[in-house]
Amino acid sequence: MAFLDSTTAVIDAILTRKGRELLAKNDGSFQITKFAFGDDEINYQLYDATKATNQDADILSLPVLEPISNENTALLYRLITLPQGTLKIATLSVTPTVGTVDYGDNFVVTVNTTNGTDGQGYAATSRDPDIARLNAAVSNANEGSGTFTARTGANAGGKSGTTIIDITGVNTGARKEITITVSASGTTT
Amino acid sequence: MGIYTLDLNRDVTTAAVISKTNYEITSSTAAQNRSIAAFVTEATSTGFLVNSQGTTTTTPLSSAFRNISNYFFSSSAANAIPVAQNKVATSGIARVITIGRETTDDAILSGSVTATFSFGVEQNKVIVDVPETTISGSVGQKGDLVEASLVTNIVGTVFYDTGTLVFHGGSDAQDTNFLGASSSGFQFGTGATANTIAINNLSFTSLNMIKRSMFFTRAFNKEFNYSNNPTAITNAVDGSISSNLTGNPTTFITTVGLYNTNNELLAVAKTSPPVKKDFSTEKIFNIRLQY
Repeated sequence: MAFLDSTTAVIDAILTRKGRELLAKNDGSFQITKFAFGDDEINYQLYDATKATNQDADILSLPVLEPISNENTALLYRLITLPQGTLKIATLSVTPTVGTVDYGDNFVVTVNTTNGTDGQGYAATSRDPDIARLNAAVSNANEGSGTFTARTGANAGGKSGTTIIDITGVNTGARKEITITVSASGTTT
Repeated sequence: MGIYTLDLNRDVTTAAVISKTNYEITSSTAAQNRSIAAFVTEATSTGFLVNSQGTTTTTPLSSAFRNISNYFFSSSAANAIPVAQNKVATSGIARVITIGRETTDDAILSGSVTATFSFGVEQNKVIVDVPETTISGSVGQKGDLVEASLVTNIVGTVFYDTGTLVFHGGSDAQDTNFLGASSSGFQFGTGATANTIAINNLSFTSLNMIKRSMFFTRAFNKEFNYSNNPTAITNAVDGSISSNLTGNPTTFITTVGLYNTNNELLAVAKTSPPVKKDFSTEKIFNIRLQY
C-alpha cells in the first residue's frame, strides 16, 4: 500500500514592474484578487497522436523559462475554460488591421470578439509607448466590442517609427496585434 | 473565461516573516566589510576621526555627526549630546558606531547587542543593551547601553532602526568612561593599549522583516482545458482548435499570473516542468509571494 499523494505545488512568484510600481505607491492599489494560468513555452505541435502512449512526452520535457518582470510579456497565452467538445476558441478582429498615422494625430482602433464575449473589455499595450501611447479608457459599451485610441507625437513620447499594439480580450484571453507607423515629425503620410 | 477571481477569505493568507542574522565583528577589516564605522565626534569642526580602518583623518565626518545629534537626542543645540548617565549634563564629545544598512537590514534586534571594550590597559569591559519598553524618541525604539556587570552604569544609547550606537557617558570608577579625550581614539582591534579606547568585539543580530502572502490557485477539472497558444490553433482567423486537442482537450501549465481588479498583472510564477491539465484532473498551485 502506498501513501496518498496530498502534495500541493508551492511556487515562488516575483513582482512584475507594474506590481512593484503599485506596491511602492502604498495606496491600496496593490491588491491581488485574480489569477490566470498560461502556457507560453508550450508547442502543441509536439503532441504526437501517432504514438500509442506518451503522446505528450516531448511537451512535458520542454524547458520552462524563469519568470520575467515585464507584465506585458510575462503571460501571453492564457488558458481558458470552455465546454468539452468545443471546436473553436475566441478570436479578435481589429479595424483597421494596420495603420499609418501622421505625427501627432490619434489612431482609433475598434476590436471585436468572435466565438466568445469580452464583457470585461480589452487590455491593450504599446510595445513602444514613445511612438504610440494608449489612452487609459477602453470602451466596451457593447459587449464583445471595444474602441481605444493610440496617441502619437507630443502626446506620446515624441518619437516616430513603427510599433505594435497588443490587444487581449480580458474574458477570452484572445490576442491580436496591430502595427502602427507614425510619420516623422512635420511630415504627413 | 481566462482570469478567475480569488476568494480572499479562502484562497489567500498573509503573514509577516522575520529572519535574523547574527554578526560578530572583531577587527577593523571585518567592520569595513560590513560597512561598520567607528569614530569620535567632537564639539569642534576640526573633529578628530578614527574610522573603522584605523586611519586618522581630519575629515570632519565626526563633526558632521555632531551636527545631526539633535536628530537622535532632540537637543535644542546641535552639538549638545546629553551625557548618558544623567540625561541632563551635555557633552561635546561622544563615540559612535554606525552599522550600514546592508548589515542592519531593517533593524538591529533589541536586546541582541553585546560589545567588549578595552579602556587603556583595562580589558573585558562588556557593554550590553537594555531596550526601552515604551518608545519615547522620534527615531524609533532605542535602548540604553550599560555595563553588563553593573547595569546602572549607563554608557550610551543604541538606536535600533538606524543601526547607530552612541557612547556618550560612563563611569571613571568603572573604567568605562567614553567621554575621554578624543586622542584616545575609537577603533576596532584586539588587546589593550595604553591611552586608547578599543572595540575588541561587537556582536548583534539584524532583522529582515518581510510580508509573505500565499495564493491558492485552483484549476478544477472542467477549467483551463483550452489554450490561446497559437500552436494549439490550426486556423487563427476562425479559431479552429488543433484536431489533436479536440478529442481530449489538454493544456500544459507553465505560468501562473496574479492580477488586481483592473486585470493588471502584478506577479508571476512559473512551474517546471509543465503541468498537464485535462478534464480528468484538477490542480492546485500554492503561489508564494514575498515583499
